[in-house]
Amino acid sequence: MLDALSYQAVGLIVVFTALGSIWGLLELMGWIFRAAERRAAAARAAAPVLEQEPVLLLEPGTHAISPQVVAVITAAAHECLQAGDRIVSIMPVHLQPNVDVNLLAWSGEGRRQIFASHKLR
Amino acid sequence: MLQGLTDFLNLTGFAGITWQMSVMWAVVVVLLYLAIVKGFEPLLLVPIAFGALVANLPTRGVITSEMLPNGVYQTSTFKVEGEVLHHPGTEATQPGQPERIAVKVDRIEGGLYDFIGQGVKLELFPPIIFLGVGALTDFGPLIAAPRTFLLGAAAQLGLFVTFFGALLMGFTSKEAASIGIIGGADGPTSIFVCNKLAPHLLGAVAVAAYSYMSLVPLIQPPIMRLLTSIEERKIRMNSLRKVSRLEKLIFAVVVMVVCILIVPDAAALIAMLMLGNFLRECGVVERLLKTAQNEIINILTIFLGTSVGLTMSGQSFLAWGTIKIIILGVVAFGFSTAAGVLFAKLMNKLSPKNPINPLIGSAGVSAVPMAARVSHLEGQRADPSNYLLMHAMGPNVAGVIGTAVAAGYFISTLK
Repeated sequence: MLDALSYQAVGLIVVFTALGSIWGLLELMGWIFRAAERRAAAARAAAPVLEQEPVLLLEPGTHAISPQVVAVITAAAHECLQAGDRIVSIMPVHLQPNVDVNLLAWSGEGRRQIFASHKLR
Repeated sequence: MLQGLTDFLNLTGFAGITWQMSVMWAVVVVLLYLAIVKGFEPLLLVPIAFGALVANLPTRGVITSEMLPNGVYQTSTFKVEGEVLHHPGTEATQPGQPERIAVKVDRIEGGLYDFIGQGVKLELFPPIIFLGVGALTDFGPLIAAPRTFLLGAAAQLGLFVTFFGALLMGFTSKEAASIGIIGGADGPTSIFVCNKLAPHLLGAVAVAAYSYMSLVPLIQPPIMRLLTSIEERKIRMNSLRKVSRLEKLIFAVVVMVVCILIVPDAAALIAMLMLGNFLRECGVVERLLKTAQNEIINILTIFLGTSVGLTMSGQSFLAWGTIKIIILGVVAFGFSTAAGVLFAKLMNKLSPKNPINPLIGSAGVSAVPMAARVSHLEGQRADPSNYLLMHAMGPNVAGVIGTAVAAGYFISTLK
């Protein structure tokens, strides 16, 4: 009976030792990565803010984009690019000069990404 | 002519039907009902139930099975006929060196699942399924909150308590370990351990493990409510930080190295789990990842499920030992759930400034993601605006690793 109990105790100690060790290593790794993120954030904050022209939207009365759509596009761009970029202008595709509309079509972009197959979906 | 007809009738399957088979047909109907109508883990229970049905029909050419004199029901054996060749140079050239033999195989005789079942006997299927599990699992919530590893460890208490209970009920140490592993709620690991330590219990253990995995939403909530107060169930946890891809890659390597160093016998399971996860997180092998997540795991689930079901012959399954295993399986599950919840409460006592909702402790059993979902739903009952799912995924996937480590301990000490 005592042998069985000690066998179980040892087993539990082994499991806790294994997972506890991994916990410790992950806490250390997390601390290192959080410190690196803080340094990167501090560097970004310290960088001079470039003067940008104000956000350029279409003139009123000509294919105006609602603020809600601007918000959605901004959020989508932030999520995709994962960087603190600033939206400089938003313009419908068909109004961009000297650009082949087919190349910039969103569906074409989707196909390109799928064929590239570097992103998990 | 009448004699010829009688002789033929004796060759048909009708002559081979036994009462045990009839009882097992009813068991199969229950399993199929649970799987198809109730939706309890159909991916697993359907192949197991179908395999059990085939095992309890008088088949030929499907599987070879026999009851050995020591009472062990052996399945998946095949016959190899050949000729030992005597060539010059096969004799031992130096003292102490073994003599080598060369064999020319003329014929291999066996049924369909005598060969497919070798995937279970040779310990191939469970680790390869773990490859798919790793490819499907996101360890991000666990990496973001690594202290939940301890909840996954605590939930393994059920294994050891049940081991003790099985010893008291007359099982041997190897059998007790094979039964105790049910508490980990991990099908491939249960089969891995049982096949090494007590292969004659494989059918009962596998059915118990997979059935209880599918019954997690029924078994766990009463235990969780019994052990927690309303205030504890309402605890809000801090948001999880974002985990980078590099962290996930390092995690896979670190876990594999640490676990293999501590319990080398768990290497097959842990290495394949982490290989699958590495394929997922590296982001440059999408074709391999998709294969691991889909074709590989689906094919092996079919073969593993049916192979396990084919061990459920009435001769071996309808025994008092099976009833004991099923009872002990519930005990294992219950203790694992309780241990996870209680350990979370203990962690709150030690670290009150950053509390853990104790409901996520029950997710330390390896039934991914069902146990995490149960924790989330119980939390929602107490506070509809409290979202525990991602927090519960941490201990849930930690439990997979914890059960694999426990399995390695059992195998290394008892084989």
